[in-house]
Amino acid sequence: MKKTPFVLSILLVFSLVLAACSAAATPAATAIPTQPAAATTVVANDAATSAPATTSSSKLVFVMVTDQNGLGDQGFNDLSWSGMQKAGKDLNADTKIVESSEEAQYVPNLTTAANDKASLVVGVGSLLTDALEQVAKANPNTNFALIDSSVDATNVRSVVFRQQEGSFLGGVIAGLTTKTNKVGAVGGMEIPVVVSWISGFEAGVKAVNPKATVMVTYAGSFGDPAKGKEIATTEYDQGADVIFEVAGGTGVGAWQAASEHGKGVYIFGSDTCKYSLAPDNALPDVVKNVDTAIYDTAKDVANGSFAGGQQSLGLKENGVGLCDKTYQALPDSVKTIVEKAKQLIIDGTLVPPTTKDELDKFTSPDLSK
Amino acid sequence: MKFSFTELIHRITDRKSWLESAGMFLGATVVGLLFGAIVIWSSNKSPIVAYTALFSGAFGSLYGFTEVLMSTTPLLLAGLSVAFAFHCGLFNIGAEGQLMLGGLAAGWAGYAIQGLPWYLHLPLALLCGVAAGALWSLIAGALKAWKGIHEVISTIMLNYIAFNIGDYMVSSNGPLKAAGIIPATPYVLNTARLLPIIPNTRFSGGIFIALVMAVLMGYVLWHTRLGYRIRAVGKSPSAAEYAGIPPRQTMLLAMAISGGLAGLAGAVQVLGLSYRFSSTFSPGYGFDAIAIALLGSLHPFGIVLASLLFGILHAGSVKMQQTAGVSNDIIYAISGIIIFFVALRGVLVNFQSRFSHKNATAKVQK
Repeated sequence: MKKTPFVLSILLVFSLVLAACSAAATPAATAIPTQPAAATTVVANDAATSAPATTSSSKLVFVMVTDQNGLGDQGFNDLSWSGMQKAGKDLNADTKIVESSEEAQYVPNLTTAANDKASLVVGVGSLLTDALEQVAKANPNTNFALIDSSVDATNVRSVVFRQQEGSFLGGVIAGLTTKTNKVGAVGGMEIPVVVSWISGFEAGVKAVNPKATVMVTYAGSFGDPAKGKEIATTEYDQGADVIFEVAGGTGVGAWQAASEHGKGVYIFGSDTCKYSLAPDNALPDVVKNVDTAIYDTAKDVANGSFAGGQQSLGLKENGVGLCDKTYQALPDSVKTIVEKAKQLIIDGTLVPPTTKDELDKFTSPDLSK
Repeated sequence: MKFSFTELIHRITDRKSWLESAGMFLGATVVGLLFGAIVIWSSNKSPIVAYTALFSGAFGSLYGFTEVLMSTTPLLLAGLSVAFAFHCGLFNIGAEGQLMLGGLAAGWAGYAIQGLPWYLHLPLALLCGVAAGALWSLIAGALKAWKGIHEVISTIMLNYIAFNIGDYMVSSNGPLKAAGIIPATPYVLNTARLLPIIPNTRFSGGIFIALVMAVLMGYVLWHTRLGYRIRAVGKSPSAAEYAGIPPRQTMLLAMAISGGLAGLAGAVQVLGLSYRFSSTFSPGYGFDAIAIALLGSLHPFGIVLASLLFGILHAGSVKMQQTAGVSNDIIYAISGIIIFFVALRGVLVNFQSRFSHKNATAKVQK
């Protein structure tokens, strides 16, 4: 008598959980290529035996380490991983990903990757800066790359993007699109990278539409879609009709808010083409080609031409740009002004701001002529 | 029937015997791991390879094992915090917020107070963390004691305030923000650090502070008058009052101790591992702590084991990702299942008591 509900509930729980989790876990898991069985015998902490990775004759191993926001953000991290996987395929290398589950794991995750004889360890995201610097200095024979931030060490290639150049163009489009003269921005955390995204955006809006006001809200996290949705909804309710999100996983919620709000409001995001999240509301996203940057770095490692140092990628280097599909759908009058701004930025006559102070001092050349 | 959190918690944790608690713990763990194995297997990976990597990561080297202990430390302290409040009938969901402010206060005291020798500075910084956590929890305690506002509601809301205070302090123009990219305070001085005590590891010995707290908590709860009062109020505030125990003061004290323990968890993490407060230093220790407290049947010894289990999962997952290519989402799935089974017990006990109740009334009617 007592046993029946117990057994029933166990069965119920099992079937529910299986259905829920296998669906969720499979895409993430299938994205990771199968490792050779021999890899299981490798145990960490053989730092003493780790040889310079580039001279190693065995198969190349590329390891990507994320911060606690991890894969599934439909942006930065997913894009980085796709660049890594492509490199693994083309260069016949093993690729591995380690998602940090907390800040305290940055150092051990990077250290384990270095100890595991990785040919290249890529830290994705500026939150990893201090940890990567520490680990890179402790492992001078391992090649590192850091995306979105810079570290001064000979074995680290720091790749930073001039995202403010791309988001300036996004701001121009938003400023020309808004009918209410109110636009919104949703930021993940208030860290320098995000601030530069949003400063460039605000400058772009102001350059073509001095009457427009920009509402900026930071969510405090890159992994909180519910909060992103709440912020975007509030901004729409306050009269904004265009929103720019620079919020990773949090931003996915902002797209939801746009799609639920229906036609008449617009949204665009950072890092990748995201129009499929709300096709009726999408303006051109500001893309950041992290995948290409990682691919090129991995290729340099494979060719033996890897060198540390700083790399800065902007419109000129095609490091940032606008999502082509949605861009082509814009009216020609808008495209003309965007192209003009783009040319001025490439020439160096227009330098979009990267901080709030620079934004306050920024004056734009007239783009309408 | 009126729903009551306290009653539900009692159902989950009322242990009839040591054996039953141990059975629940082992049962939930084994089912969690089995379930994880099925998910790993269904995504075309070998569960054996994955678990070998998980456990070799956790126990295969001294470094790995010290990492397990480092992961265990904040979970243990926060678990004790949640459990302590439960014993007084209070559901402290606010441990995460108290922990956040504890870390902030300790981080601040670690760099802002200068010129003290380590034997004064370190305890002072730890105490700042304890005090911040305790004061924050007292707000919820006072609202409960005098206004009858349920602590579940108030602690959840106070959590958000605490998170935003933490975010603000180290945001781009925040008052405690250090120069640089990372949203964090300056590094704490060497005199305020719990430094590594085993070379080439990060092992700070914070676990010993946590273990001492576990022993102390067991002693206070079951061997002192204060503990008796707390447990009496936990069972029934009105009966306790009838017996001459002031329920308000007792609740306030229990809440303050609970918040202090959570604050200590944050302080130990900041002073012993990251050496600075950053707004993202906790991935949710205070929330995991609720599950850990329940899995450990609210007993300090059970909580030590439960937090150790979670520590093994967290620390071992690094190796599992790298050598077996299994995503660390599996770890969350496994801990989710464990929590689910622990909570399920509350439901089952409910079934049992209803059935036995029916049988009993049937017999009486005969």
